[in-house]
Amino acid sequence: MSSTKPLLQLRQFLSLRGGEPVFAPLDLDLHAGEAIWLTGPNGAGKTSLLRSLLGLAECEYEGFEFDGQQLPGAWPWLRQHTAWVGHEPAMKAEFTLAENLHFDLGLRGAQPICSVAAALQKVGLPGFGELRAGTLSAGQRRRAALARLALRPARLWLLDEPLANLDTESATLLAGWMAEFVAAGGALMLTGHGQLPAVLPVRRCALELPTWN
Amino acid sequence: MELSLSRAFYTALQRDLQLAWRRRGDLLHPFAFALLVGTLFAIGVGAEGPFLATAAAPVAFLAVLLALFLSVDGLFRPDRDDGQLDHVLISPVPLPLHLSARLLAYWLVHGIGLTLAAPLLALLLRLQGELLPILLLALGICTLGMSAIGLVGAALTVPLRRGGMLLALIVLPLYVPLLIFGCGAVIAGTGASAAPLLLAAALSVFLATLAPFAAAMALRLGMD
Repeated sequence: MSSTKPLLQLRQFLSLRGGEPVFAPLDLDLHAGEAIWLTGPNGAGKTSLLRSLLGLAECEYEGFEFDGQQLPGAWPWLRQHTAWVGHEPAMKAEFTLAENLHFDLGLRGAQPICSVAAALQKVGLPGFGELRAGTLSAGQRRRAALARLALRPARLWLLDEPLANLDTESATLLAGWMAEFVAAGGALMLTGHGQLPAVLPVRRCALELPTWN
Repeated sequence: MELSLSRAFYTALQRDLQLAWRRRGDLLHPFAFALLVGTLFAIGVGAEGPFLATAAAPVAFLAVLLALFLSVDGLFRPDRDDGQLDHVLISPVPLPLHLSARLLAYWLVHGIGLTLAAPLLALLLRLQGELLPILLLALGICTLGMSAIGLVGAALTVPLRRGGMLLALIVLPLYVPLLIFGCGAVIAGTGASAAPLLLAAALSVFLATLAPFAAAMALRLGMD
């Protein structure tokens, strides 16, 4: 592990749901060039953790720093440098994949850093740009949602079950792409169950259910 | 990474207009609903008699108002269900700016779209012909204010699983001032003072200016 300051630092971090903690207090350091795989039983708060890191869900903490800056003040900075792909693909069935990706970026007022075709190539959907999102399978939609990672520069990827519903071949392809991102100095946090393809070296972090009093 | 606010605004506007076009079949439902309300009223009252003549303008107005309310819940709920709302909430674009684009698109599609039902309603309800232009103008203006009220109501109720009834209770009473001025203008008829229409326009612009800020606050409150 590098001795430099971590990109993301959590101390006694708790996600709350209806005012109650979702998992036991978490201490975590994530450095640039490192991947963390969040595991834990269903309901252990993997999704809640990712959402509360972005400020989309309630949280409590003793320490929460991104890039050396204290939260909550640094939230705009964190959100700008973080790409998040959540549980839902955030795509409209009536639009084509290319339109969905184009609107997604445009709503942020941003220009893409590569073409939509190149982004779809990355996730193993070359030439799918003109297909309506509604005609795709769940796995294909998931991959298309991940394609937005290629369109925008980010230092931290937060991915909620990115490999769910994927066949082995696509899972390996995507894990390889994530490994490239990490090798290039990106930080990655992903959730999931079962086995990860071996191409992506990760540090496991198990979330535990809180102790009920 | 540079942030272009005008690009964010036009993308939001374009997205909503294009989505409405792709789902254009759905737009017929509120349109047909407005016509049905008018028809049911005309049947209930009977085509003869002076009552229908005096009631025609307010009933046409109410039919459009109720039909517009039907589509309010669709402002944010689909975006919440498919996860897009979360992406908007964490985007660097100021939320009120995004919401004003959404409001404009909503008014153009639903407000103006339903205003086009007015000529048919006027025919059904035997509205005097010379009142039709005033009715069209009043509806065009008042639907902007109603859309603005709907934007805030939809933002408040989007976290609730079944917000429909609550949405009606929040939104419908707030339509009252617009209803008074809008109907007032049509009932006063041609050649009367333009004051009610101007008041309705002022109120609509005022609501449309403030609503994106109020809706942004409501969405942030319901974020969790």
